[in-house]
Amino acid sequence: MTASDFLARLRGRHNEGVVALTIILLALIVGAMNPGFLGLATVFNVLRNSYEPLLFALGVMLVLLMGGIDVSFDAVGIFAAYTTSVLTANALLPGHLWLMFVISTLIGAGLGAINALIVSLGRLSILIVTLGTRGIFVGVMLTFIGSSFISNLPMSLQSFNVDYLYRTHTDTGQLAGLQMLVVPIAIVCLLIDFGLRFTVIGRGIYAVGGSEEAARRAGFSVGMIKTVVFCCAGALAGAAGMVHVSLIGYANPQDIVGNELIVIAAVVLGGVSIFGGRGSVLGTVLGVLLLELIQYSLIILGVQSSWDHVAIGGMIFVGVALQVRRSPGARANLFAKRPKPSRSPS
Amino acid sequence: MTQNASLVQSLARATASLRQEHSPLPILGVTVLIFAIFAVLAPGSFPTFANMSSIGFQVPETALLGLGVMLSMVLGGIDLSVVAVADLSGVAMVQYFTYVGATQPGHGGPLVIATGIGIALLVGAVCGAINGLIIGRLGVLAILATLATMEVFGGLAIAWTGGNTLPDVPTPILDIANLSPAGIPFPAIILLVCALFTALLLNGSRFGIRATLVGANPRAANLSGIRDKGVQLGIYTASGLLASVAGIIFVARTAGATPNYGEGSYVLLAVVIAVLAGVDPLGGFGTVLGVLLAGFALDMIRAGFVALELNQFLYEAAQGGILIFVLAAGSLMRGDMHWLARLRKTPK
Repeated sequence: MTASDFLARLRGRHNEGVVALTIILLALIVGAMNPGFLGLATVFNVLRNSYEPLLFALGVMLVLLMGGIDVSFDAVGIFAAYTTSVLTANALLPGHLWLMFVISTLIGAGLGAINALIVSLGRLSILIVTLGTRGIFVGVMLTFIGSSFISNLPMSLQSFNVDYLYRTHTDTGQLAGLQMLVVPIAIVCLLIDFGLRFTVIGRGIYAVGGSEEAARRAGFSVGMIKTVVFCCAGALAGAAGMVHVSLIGYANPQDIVGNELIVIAAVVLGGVSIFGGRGSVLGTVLGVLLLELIQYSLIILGVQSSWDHVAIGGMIFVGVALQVRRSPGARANLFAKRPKPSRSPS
Repeated sequence: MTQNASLVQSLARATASLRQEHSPLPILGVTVLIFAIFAVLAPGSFPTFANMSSIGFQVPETALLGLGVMLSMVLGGIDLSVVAVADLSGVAMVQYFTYVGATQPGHGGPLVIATGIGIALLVGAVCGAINGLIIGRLGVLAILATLATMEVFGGLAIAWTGGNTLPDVPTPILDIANLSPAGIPFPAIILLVCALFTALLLNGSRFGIRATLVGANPRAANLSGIRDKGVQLGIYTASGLLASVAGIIFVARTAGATPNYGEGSYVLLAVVIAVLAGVDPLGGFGTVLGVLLAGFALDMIRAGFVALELNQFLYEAAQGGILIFVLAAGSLMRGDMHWLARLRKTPK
């Protein structure tokens, strides 16, 4: 293997290496400014903040790989989690945490199926359809399910927060731990990665993203692939919503919706192409970690939270500007309702 | 004679939109229908002058945003940053007023007011130009670029105000939201003026024709010698200007500059308005008249919900439903619904 081959492999097919490098550099820079930063506590805290966006991001990634942008994931997440919380708080469901996760995931999958159904009505643009379903899910939730806090959640929820695999302390003396949650989430990541790489449906997702018409003619069942993707994305969103609720300890229906940009930014930064057909789980994970690291660093460095958005926006901009370099002249139309004509492989 | 000929020509061009494939006639019908429905359901509270007047005050802010989104859609992109630009413009304007103490007696003269408004417009134009440059020159996809700028512009507004609402709004600005010269709400007049400019820009200027061509078929336009970079810059700058006007109205109506006003819901609403107006998201077409009607229709629905004492959250669900319904209807008419054809072919 020549040196340039090695460098190319290090870089990764979708620039994952670049993201990883950025993470390391950022950590070093912040560590230089704040010596207590470089430690296990930081790792644990950033991870803790990443669980929810990561699950959302995986769902967004799946839809993006297929060539569409889903903006309804946060609505799905809060709908599923809030409904589950309401059911549990009103004793309509036994109060077990694992059950809440299951129900929330199922509700999410159901909402994802609704997305799939509408999109397949007439090959509608995924972006606009999910823009619509987002409004519908939030509106229906707030109208029919409720609009108030739910705080009487089962005790197992509260203990969930402190179920650590390993504990340590930050240099300011605060507790930081590696939560149990990291295990199931890591398993989910591995499963998705495996599914994308080694199953027919997985390859089908990439195929549809590359060129829907070509995939159809090659024999892929595009309708089924779309349904599977949307249901998985919905399920992931439902799980993410439940993670959110479990980490805060109460269910607020006004939560989550509004933070979708960070997730989309993380996915795009992680090398997933907005045109579809390119991307990886590793890239998405790294993208989420990078953005969470940025946000965490801003807090540690004492930067006022009002500058958060500017920093995030700046990172998104850098990320997408860099992406453009990779595919010059490939400007697809986002609203393309008809399958896009195939591009030559770049 | 030539004067009359060109007048006829301009009229023909102006009304061409009504006779085109994507005519705004359907949305006109929808608007009338909505009015009729709510007038029947709530005869006491809906079709009143007071209600129409309040709609007239409410529609302009979202309709202006809708116009901005429409312009970006003509080029085949989408401008998600309109609300952020509006907020930032409003913040800039009120910061200026605070700086010169415009709310203090004797300080809020017409020159100060005009400068404040000018600052807002300038901020809007600059933000729009930044969008146009990123999309045109750097080649970043519109949705991603405006996603990023939405965060940056909105973030700047938040950082500049520390997250607070700035209250120093001088009376003449507040009057914008309260006056009704000749019975027509002042914001509606502003909206009509802006709509007129936009329509002239899009349909009556060489720039507008070029923009429409670029949106309809970028490749053909490129091969025809139209440089799309300038078009992107111009369109997004116009979009930014419209957003800043909306921002001024926000400030007037809320008596303060709130840095993240309307952040979540208004973007959806603006897109719904643009799509409902018959704007073809694939690019190449948009009618100003359609946007005005759609904005009016959507706000009538909102007012109708209030009159019928329906849950306001349901309105957001309704917006989403309308968006999907309009999309599906368009798809149906285009013949994209293949499964329908398969159903029909099933032997009985």
